[in-house]
Amino acid sequence: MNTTSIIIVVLVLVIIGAILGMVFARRRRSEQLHTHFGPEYDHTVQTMGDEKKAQTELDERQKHVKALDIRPLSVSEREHYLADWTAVQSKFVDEPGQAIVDADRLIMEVMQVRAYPVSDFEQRAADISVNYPALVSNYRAAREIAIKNEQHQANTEELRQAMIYYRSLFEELLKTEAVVEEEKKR
Amino acid sequence: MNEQDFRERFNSSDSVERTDKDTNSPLVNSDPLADKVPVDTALIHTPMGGTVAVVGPMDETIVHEAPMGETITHEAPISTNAGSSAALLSREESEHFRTRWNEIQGKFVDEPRAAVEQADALVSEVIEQITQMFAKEHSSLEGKWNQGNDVSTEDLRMALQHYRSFFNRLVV
Repeated sequence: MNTTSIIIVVLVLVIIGAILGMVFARRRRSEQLHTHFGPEYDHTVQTMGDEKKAQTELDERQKHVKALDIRPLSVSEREHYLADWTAVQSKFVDEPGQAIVDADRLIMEVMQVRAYPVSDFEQRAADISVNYPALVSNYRAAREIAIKNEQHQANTEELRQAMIYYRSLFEELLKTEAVVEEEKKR
Repeated sequence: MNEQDFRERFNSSDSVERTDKDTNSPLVNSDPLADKVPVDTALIHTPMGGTVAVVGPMDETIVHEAPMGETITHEAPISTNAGSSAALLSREESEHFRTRWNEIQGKFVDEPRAAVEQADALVSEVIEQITQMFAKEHSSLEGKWNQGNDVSTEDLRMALQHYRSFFNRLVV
């Protein structure tokens, strides 16, 4: 075997190694994104129509949220919003449709207080998906019912479901610093 | 915080505040001098056509403390201590029932069927409470007029007025 052949073999091996490395790195990243976002990962792939694009999108979302200065609620703010929610939930018995509108608004308000940027629904859902990946599907489901509600097409049971969807997210958004810290320690 | 915990918070006593006014009660004592009317129940006719039962000595009169803007109703025992009351339920009872109602209403979103079942039970309980109160009042009233022929027309008149007072509280 002459020197040229050895160089060629080494080069080929290096190239194969590099390719394998890239493939593994991408697979790992893909797995990480999948683990973090869960069903939202598949949802994004479906919406984007391409896994690569979806991964870029989810990456962007994480960077976007990381750049935000999101803070937990104070204890008094939490008490305040808890009371507001109780009122909205009780209102459901008399005005289910309006209660849904109020619940949606309350979530937006809490998001703004916690320094999430004011934006349209898709952007809000995207931001939510980074910190609360398990709950963004609930948020979207509630949104769909809310739109139906605007057209007076939603029945009471759907509205009730929407209320529960909204609350699952609201509950998480309401966590105070103390609670957040405690969870980090675990 | 798990879901159960959260629900409990929402369904706990800090449920929606309601402003209630006992304006439904036809027995409204609007005359501050009324308390000074001597014993043996006096009935004051109000402009609305209802009657106001007033009792003499303050020590026999239970005054329901009422916040601003609410009417104060006085208990009006029948000559002696008959234990009738102006409102169908005492303030404490009303508050207790209302707290429970608020809990039930707050629960609807999570457990609609259970909420309705509990509402049914609560309403039954309130009716039962009122029935019991009437039964008590009834036995003392009956003692006044159902004693053979020895009852004076005046006693019968008074008895009828007391029935009317009860009737008016039920039929608004």
